[in-house]
Amino acid sequence: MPSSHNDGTNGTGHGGGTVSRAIQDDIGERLRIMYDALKEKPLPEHLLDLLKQLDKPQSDESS
Amino acid sequence: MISPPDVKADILEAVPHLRAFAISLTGDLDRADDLVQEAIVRGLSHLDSFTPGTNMQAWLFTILRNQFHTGYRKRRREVEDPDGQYAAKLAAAPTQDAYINLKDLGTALLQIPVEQREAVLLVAGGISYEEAAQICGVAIGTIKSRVNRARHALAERLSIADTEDIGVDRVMKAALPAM
Repeated sequence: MPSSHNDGTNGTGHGGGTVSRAIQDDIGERLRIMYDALKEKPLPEHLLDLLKQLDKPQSDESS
Repeated sequence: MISPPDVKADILEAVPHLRAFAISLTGDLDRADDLVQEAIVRGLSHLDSFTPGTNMQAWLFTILRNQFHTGYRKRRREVEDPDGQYAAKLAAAPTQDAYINLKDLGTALLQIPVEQREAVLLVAGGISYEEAAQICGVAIGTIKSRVNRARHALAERLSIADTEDIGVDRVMKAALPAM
């Protein structure tokens, strides 16, 4: 009984083919890099304004 | 209930995470910013339902995700046609690693089922499986399997092949008699 090391990713529907652990990790790493890059994107003005209101004591904003 | 300063600090800290999640989830910068804004406003007005000591970031993610899904049902058709515009938006994201093609990754992300997309993105953002499970309202095992399937599907779409492993796999399969 061959015990290939995959995490039972069954039921994806279309044609067989399992990607290896290394490839999964590689994709995970790429996603992390993409995600981190997106975190660095400067915030738009309306969000900055909203966040500035957080710094003020207590203002009720009912829009 | 008055919000203590550290709650505000936590919200401020969570914003870049929420935004990265929203951008990659929707593939639409403007919509992502709307989602982030709504999540903050909602979070602030429901602070009394936040349990102090728990993870503010995960709580805001839950709010944002719920709003995304509410809107998603209405806009399904738009989301299903992602090419192009998402790529253009992601291209504006700063990146040093030329070998990683973020455009292709972003496009591929939008082509996989949304529940796989959100799971793999939460984990990419450093959220634990346990928290991701809470945010999505499913079992940990479900999140793990969604993350696996998402990575698998992305790898296929990006045609990433680890020749060594795949080679070995094929040789093994060829050598083993079918059972």
